[in-house]
Amino acid sequence: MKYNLVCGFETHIELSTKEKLFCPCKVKFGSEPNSNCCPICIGAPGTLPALNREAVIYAIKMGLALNCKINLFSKMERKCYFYPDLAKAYQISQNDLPLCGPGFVELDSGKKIRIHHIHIEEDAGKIKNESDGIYVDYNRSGVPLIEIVSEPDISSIEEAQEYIEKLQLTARYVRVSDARMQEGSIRCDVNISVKPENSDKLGTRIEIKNMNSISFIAKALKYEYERQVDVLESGGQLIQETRRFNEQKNCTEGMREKEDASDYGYFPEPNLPSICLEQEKVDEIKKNLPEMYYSRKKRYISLGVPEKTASLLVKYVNVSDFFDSAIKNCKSPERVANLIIGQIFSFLGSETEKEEFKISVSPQDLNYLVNLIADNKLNMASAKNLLSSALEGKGNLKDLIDKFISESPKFDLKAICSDCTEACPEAVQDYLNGKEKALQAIIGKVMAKTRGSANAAEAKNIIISIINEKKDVEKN
Amino acid sequence: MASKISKDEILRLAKLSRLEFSEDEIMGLLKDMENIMKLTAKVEEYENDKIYNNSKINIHQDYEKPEYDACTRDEILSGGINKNGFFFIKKY
Amino acid sequence: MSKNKGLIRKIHDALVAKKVSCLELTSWYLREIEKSDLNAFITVTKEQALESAKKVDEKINKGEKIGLLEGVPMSLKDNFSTKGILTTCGSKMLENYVPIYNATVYEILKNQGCVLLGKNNQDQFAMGSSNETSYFGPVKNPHDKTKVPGGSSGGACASVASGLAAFAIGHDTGGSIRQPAAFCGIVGLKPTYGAISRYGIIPLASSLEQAGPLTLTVEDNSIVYDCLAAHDPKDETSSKIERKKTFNSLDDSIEGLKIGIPTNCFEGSDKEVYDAVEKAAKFYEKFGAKITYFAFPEFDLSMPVYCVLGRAETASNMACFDGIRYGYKYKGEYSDVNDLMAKTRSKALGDEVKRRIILGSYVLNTGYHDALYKKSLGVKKLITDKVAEKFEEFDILITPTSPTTAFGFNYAGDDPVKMQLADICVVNANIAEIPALSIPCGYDSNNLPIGMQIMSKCWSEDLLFRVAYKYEKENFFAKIIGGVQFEI
Repeated sequence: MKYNLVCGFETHIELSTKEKLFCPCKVKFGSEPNSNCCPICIGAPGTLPALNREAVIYAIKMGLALNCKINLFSKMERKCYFYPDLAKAYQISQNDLPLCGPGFVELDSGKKIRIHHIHIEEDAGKIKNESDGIYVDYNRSGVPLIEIVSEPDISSIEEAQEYIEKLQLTARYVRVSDARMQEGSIRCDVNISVKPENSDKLGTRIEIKNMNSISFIAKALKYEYERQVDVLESGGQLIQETRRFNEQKNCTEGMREKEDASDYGYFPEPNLPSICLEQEKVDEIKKNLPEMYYSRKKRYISLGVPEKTASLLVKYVNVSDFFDSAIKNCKSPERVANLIIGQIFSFLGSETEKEEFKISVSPQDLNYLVNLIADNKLNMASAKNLLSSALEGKGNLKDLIDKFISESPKFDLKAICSDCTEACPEAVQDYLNGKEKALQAIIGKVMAKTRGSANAAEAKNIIISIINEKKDVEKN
Repeated sequence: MASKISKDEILRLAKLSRLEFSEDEIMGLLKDMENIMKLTAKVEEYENDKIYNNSKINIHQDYEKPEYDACTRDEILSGGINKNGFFFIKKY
Repeated sequence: MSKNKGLIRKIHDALVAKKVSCLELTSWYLREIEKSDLNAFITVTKEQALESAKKVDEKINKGEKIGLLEGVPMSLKDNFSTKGILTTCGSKMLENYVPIYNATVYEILKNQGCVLLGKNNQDQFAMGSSNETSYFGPVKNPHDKTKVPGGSSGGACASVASGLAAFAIGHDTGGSIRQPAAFCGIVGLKPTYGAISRYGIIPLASSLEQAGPLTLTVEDNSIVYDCLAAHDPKDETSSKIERKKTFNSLDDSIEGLKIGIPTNCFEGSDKEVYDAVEKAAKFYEKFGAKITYFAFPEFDLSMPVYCVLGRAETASNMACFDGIRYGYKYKGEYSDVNDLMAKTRSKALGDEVKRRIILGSYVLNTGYHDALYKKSLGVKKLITDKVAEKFEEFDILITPTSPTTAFGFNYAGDDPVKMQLADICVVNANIAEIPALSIPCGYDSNNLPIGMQIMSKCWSEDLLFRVAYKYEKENFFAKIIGGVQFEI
């Protein structure tokens, strides 16, 4: 029998607000343990949460970008459970009335993955299990999170990967998070079940907690799909449980039984009044959202950028922003795109460097460079050399270009072309007989004479006009 | 609603609340809880929608941010067992 | 202003006139605390007190002006966080707990220059109505040492009543200011919910509790309330409404007052209490007050709602005490971290605390929570709305504060419901979020004080004080039992 994969995601994204969700401690990473903490972070008795308004705005932005309904009335609740990293022994979260209602993520295929809701909550601290005991650090305690809960609409590993990538992109485009899996600023719990191809009945749901790499998600899904099919095929039964992905063994393993969801004892957080929004203000936020990756991509294609290149440009929001600045009053957006994904990308090694896109060339200077190429004032080879020098930090690109042009040997291109044409009568004859390639010989001579600083295309045009002129003269 | 609370239920709640009770204490708890539940049974007669408190946080309104006195890391750690700057729970 | 000055103004005048130095005054109080056998204090902050007293004296000696509360010796219930000063909440769990920050209430009083004498005994985590659940032993009632002072702010009330502090700050979740104030014969206010910051108060039931002043006189209470009632951005439930200053209008007219008497709140009251409170209500007829008796069945729902909401919030507020970040740490061996938490909590939390946690946990779990917790929230709203309607008819409601005067130790035995019913009249104000004031209105045949409770609509503390002030002026009952004597 053939089985379909049915998969839903609960995705946690850390918001990059300046301050934590309920206190003014900074949202930052890599501090000494328990040094970025205040009485509120460690749940000192008597402390109260003061809601970070910025975090709510960030969550609204994400909701709007994911086509969600924004609830003008929502409520924080306490989710009660004991764990050493949970300072108050309850997490302030949302349950009944989350901030964002239903929405969706559209995949490239046009398929929509529905989002059930998005809610705001605080992160917990971190624990380290060592042989002598448990070490607890509350620096992360109170960092604002959003949890994006999808419907079980994902039916392949590829869709799962694309869904997560789209969430990352969205978070980066609306600038609410850098959404980096490796740093834990985006983490997923994945729900997986399988069902026989022709059945409508959902299978038993298995949850895999705390996935923090797209490749692990793919591996876990593959393993879990095969495991579940095996169990069913051999006549066994699956039990609803929480499993963990073992990165070394490349498989999922059952976790110790956790407390049942109904044991969380959710109830309204008495220390925080309901959160109220005004529709006009929400509309205003929507109006001011940055242009999203999918519409930028369409726009780039309409400017003559090939689809593949356009996809690469929008993959990184900083690249896309750079490109948008560079193509203002630009004669060849396509050439800008090619220089970015060709030369500049090869200069940047890692994905992180591409994401950050911190380069020593300004978009205005790149624009200057490309326009000079388009005007035949600079040939491609020199342009590339200049760009490389600038990327390596040898100077400001515009200064380098101006210096290069001013120092280029002055010559009369027309006279040189004329001389070279004169010297190659066979090539001229071949050309006149329809062999356009024959001109290469003349152009080669011109380049040799000018030591490569002539613009080949320009030279070619001049040579053609010289030949034509001559032909006309001879006719008369 | 269950008017009778079972011993198993008490044991489950005790585990959930990280509390331990002796047999006698559990019997006492059962009695207390039934008395209190008799009192709270009155609430059961009322049908209500979800109603929350009246006050609201309007996110768009001007907001005076609270200011707190700074705390040192030593102060943060002062109430627990400090090991290398972490709160430490010894393993046996 | 009246010729009857309250204690705070008398102290202020004496300090300014240099009849007594702040250091002398503070030393008197400290000496009386030391001598007292009421067990009203858990911690005495002798050195800090003398230090702050000296600062006040320096100011006075330099001829600088001092504020009304500056140099006035006072005490705090032991659930207000005080940086660097032991804050036990009357519990073994926090026996050695020293907070690393200040409660807003303490911060305000400190800034006013008040002299903190110490931290008062209380029921463990404020759970109780007799002060008997304290890990540090019960407090005795200054009027009769075989009787309880009431609770949970029992130590604070006993201190004020016996001249161990000029005033104290208590905290009231279901009567914990007013009931002990009545038992000790002093004045206690539970303000409108959201009037005074809760930041730094070790919580019992967050949606119900408020801090409030415990004083010898109405005037003193009004002065302290005016000082504490302010918006605090650290507490999101602290209202932004502008608080009316109450002190300046104390002596204003109350002509034509409409008084409502909810008869069901008098049911079950001792006859002497009933008669004294009714007589006190009738006192207002000479100001043209109209008294109406009516049944208010919604008030009968307050205690059940209180039990559900209070227990649920308490269970989650108590969950942070797991022995990792602060408080008691279990010293023996344990199998894992859950076992450590269970052993820590079982050893260091008192019986009443554990009882309430289990009940709260029951309310919040097993799908029970929709049935009971939310229903109770709904009924709370219903009570609040009905009470608001009543205040369109009446300016104030009068009831006994407690159905009895101070009872003996071990009054309720093992029956927590019986103890809970001691709060049957006071709990309504917490549920309805309205302000309520308890003032002494006489003594029973055993010479134990009787308390009258006056309630009004939200944000009309000024009216409460005005009404109480009229009564106090002509029928003064408060007296200091021993301790530092200031003639009033």
